[in-house]
Amino acid sequence: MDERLEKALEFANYRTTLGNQKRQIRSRMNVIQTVHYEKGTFMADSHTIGFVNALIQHGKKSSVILDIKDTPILIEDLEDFCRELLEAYQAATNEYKTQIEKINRARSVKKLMDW
Amino acid sequence: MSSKQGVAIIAYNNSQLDYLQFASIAAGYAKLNMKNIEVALITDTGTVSWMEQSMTEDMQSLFFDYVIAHEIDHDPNPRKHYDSPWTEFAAQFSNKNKNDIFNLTPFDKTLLIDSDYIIQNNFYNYLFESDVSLGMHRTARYLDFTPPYLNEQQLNEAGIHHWWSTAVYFDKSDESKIFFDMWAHVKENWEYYHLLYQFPPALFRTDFCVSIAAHMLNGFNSNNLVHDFKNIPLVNMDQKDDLIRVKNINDWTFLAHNRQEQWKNLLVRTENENLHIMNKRALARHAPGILKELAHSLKVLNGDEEYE
Repeated sequence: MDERLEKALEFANYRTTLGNQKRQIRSRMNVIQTVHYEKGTFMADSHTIGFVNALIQHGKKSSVILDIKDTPILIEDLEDFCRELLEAYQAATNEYKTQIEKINRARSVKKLMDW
Repeated sequence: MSSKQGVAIIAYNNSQLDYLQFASIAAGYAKLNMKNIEVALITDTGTVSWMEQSMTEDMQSLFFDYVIAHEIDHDPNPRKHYDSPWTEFAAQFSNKNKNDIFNLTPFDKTLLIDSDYIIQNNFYNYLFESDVSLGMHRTARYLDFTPPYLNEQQLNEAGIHHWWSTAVYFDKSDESKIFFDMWAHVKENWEYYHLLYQFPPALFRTDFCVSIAAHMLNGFNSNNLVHDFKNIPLVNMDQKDDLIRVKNINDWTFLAHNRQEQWKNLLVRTENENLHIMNKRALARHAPGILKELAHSLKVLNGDEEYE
């Protein structure tokens, strides 16, 4: 096989494998970021955290918030809810950063797999 | 947390597959990755005899806190298995009494998992601290992020949604009891329900039973009586994929086959991921090494051994 073609195919394999590994990591982050609270399911992302924090800043102690399925959930203790969201967000993003940095340093399929 | 809570695994050996070995692996992983969890093995007397021959008492008690053995006649339910796209074999699939778990479990809150379900993180812990009565995975994906096959998405082309019975969480509430009674009812009237819901009847599948039970309990609708584990998908390893390396206890590498061009494979490495290992022979090939590592890790966890 032409050496250039061989290298191109090797690179394509690497990119495909890298793409799938990135999705694995993003999917793992998604699991850690999803919070079950008061029978509702919430995504601990900047949008939700910002909104909950805005409610607290406006003096609210409790509020009805729509979860990811648009189910209205009464959150009786917004401070506690905010704390839980922040914990999940930080755990998820820390894990994400560690894993992404690890695979970004790997420049071949072999290194990606740590073989 | 005053109520008893734990993981239950049902395992019946057959001439082809050592389900006890798989159950030991699943139990070890659950104990290692979920905090303070007990494990109950639900099995038959034949498998218990095999356990007495193949496992020392120390190993039995390391993996299982309860062994509940009963006499049971398994109805023939042959299933075609794959080990890569190129090898297939048939083996008995003894799953018909899975719904009896409601009465057999020693726990007030139970996570029932299949013996080929490997728990590598603490995702399910929140259930035991919640007021969820009943939960299952509603969606799934494969290792290369391909979606489930069509008959794993819906019971037929225009059918109801498919739920996964690979991991079922339940408490002892009335709601849960009705669900398991409904499951038993579908099983007893399999011929009728396969006509009504238009799915192939040849292989008895508990996924179909729970899908129908969930559909009926939801008022013949896609309501939310059954908790869907935060909408997180089940991660399946296809029977045609292969497990090629267990680098360390929670770090596995697979060859995921391409469905359109089956000779092509993608290397997939998973870390701390809960995995449904559908290729049983692939798991069996790595079982001795995994069991050895698990035993050591559990002994370290229990303070009986030093970390190596």
